Amino acid sequence: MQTQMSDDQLFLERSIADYFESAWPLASAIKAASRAPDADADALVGSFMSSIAQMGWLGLGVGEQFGGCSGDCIDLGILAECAGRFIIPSQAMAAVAGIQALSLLRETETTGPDLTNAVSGKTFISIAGDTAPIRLRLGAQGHENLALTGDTPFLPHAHRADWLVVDARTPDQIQPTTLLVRQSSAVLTRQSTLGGSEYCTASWNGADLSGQAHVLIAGDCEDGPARRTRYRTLMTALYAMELTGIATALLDRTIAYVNERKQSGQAIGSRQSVQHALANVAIRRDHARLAGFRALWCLATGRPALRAARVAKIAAGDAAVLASEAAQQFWGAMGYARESGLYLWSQRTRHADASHGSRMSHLRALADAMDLADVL
Amino acid sequence: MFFDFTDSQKAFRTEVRAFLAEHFPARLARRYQEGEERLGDTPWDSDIRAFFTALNARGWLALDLGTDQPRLSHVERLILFAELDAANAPRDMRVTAISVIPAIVALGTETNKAQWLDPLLAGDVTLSIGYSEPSAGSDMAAMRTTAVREENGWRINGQKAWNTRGHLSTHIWMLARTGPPDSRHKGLSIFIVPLDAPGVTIQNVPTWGDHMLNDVFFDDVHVPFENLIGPENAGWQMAMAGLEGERAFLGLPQSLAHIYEKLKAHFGRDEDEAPSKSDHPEFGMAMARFEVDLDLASLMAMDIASRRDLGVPWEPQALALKIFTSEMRTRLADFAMQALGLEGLLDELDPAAPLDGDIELLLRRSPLARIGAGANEVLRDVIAQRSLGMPRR
Repeated sequence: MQTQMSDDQLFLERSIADYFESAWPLASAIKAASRAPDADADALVGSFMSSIAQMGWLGLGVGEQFGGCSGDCIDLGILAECAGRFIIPSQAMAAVAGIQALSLLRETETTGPDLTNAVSGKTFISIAGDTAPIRLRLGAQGHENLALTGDTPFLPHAHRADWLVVDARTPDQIQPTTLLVRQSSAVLTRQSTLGGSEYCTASWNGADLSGQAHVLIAGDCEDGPARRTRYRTLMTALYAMELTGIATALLDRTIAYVNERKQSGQAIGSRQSVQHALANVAIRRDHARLAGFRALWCLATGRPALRAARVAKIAAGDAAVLASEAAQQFWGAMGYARESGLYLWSQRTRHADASHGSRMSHLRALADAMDLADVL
Repeated sequence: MFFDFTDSQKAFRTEVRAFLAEHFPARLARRYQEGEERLGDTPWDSDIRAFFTALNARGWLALDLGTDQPRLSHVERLILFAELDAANAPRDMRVTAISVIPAIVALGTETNKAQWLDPLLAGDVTLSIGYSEPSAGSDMAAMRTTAVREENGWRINGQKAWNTRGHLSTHIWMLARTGPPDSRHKGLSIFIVPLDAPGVTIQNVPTWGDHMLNDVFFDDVHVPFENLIGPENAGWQMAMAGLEGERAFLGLPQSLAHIYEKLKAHFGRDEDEAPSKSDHPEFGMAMARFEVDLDLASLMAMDIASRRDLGVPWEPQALALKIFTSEMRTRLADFAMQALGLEGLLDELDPAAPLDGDIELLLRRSPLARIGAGANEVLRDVIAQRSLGMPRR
């Protein structure tokens, strides 16, 4: 048993945190999240994305032969936690998700686009973080002559993507088929959500997608469920780490604020009600961080990880929501004002909490595994 | 990072389990449910002494004393205590072993060590703790009980409150003021005082959870010089050193997990029974929440042990675990009472009591975990001020 980060992991964390802090200051995050984003805001995000691709962090979890860093799942968790702390553009972790999907879901390295291009930021792959029922039907079988009918919502930044990863069902197969589809083959509709419109719904009308789609996991593929579970488990744990980073940022900023802000001549942070609420946030955040790293360690060492990832996601969601509510309360109107940027973490909390299974859905999965009798 | 026990740690766990199978009589397990004497009867009998003698012979009682074997790591200590708790083994000597003895070893004089360590380990001297006073609970430095140096020893006057096990122990390990009245924590010293000494009066304070607490009065009680432990006026450091050892294991969730597993088994589905999760999903969700929280508590306990082994700060985590687990006890008692309905009110004396009456007892005892060993409010103050850097008022 050893729960602490190694020197290499600490170095990675410091490097990423230092870079994000300087390359993506809060002012940039506020500008990029403006209600009326302009070309300058787009350029800011674009420039940041290019810079982290150059640093190799988009490909942190893939091999050096693809231009990646050959990092493990724990390294990816460190990146995700920093993403939450410094509220970097959501496009960055969406890109990491796409790269990991290509790396983990496809059977052979030659299927679909070159991973090197995705790692270098030239190709962007969007994959939904939603676990809702599949609404896409696959009309024809085989690796050629693919026809899709229906839609897939919540594809992050799909309007900028080159490829989309979607699940589709055929009438005769229990397991879905996972496909990599050219974005240009779909009709995209921007979804208006909390915090903007980063998601799109992609629709297809049954036209033949020959040459524009690849099967990553066929519905009858024997190891398909295992590959899909590994990817989903990794993403569940990474979102948990992002939520942990969000909780840390909100906690640190709120402590700094209440220690400085005075009411009736005394720092509001000297009040017991405030101290206890923030102590509760710290306790929950510490739980979540441990649980997140444990899940990633299980993945990194080939151990069963799904249950640990569910526990981590539940704990991290609790921590970030508690931190968000405490921060909004103690900052008062200052935090309510957009200029504080506090709302960015609160919004990101809700996106990450709902992605790859809400707390409630993971609790339900754990409950189902318990096989309880009728009691009430 | 390595989020599992190593092979040697797993082997140690097996060793502890084998020890318990050999030396822990099953009849004691029920009596020690939830930690201490159950119905106020005298627990210090030959079986319990034999158990502690065997534990001591293995070097697993006083973990910081020099032995032929290498000292246990903190992760191994966690494994030891977790297994003892999971088996409901006696904890009568735990505070003595992890709090008092380390303090004597670290700060006691050579005379103190020669006089007290062997009788303590043999169970000939059994200790209760005397820190709290009627007007000095969380603010221990405000205590008023005095020890005055005389020609042939010390004369002690005052009162200790909320004392546990004083009615069952031979001696009390206590703090008394040896400095001026306003000397706060700088003027306190530790004494070991026989509870049958002339001038000592013990008044029982029965509690809701059937823990017997006591008020212990000292009226011109005389003790020889050698009953002062450590240097004069070094009591605060000794008490704090002792509390540090105790705090690391305050929030262990094993005994609560034991009750949770019994609850889960109670509501488990029989083979011929249809699943009900779709009928009452809220019940399953609430059970899953406890499963998650118990898992997190175990993980935190491992983190604390790992931190201690690595020499990195661990105290805020230990306080957090105590808060978390103690409040979970209350939540689980409330939840189980709701789920069981009127049956949940049945106590262990009723043959029809579900879970052997554990829920009835858990409910009555749950306040103690929240207020004992530092009330949760005080611990939250400590976390906020010392760990998060928030200001004192």
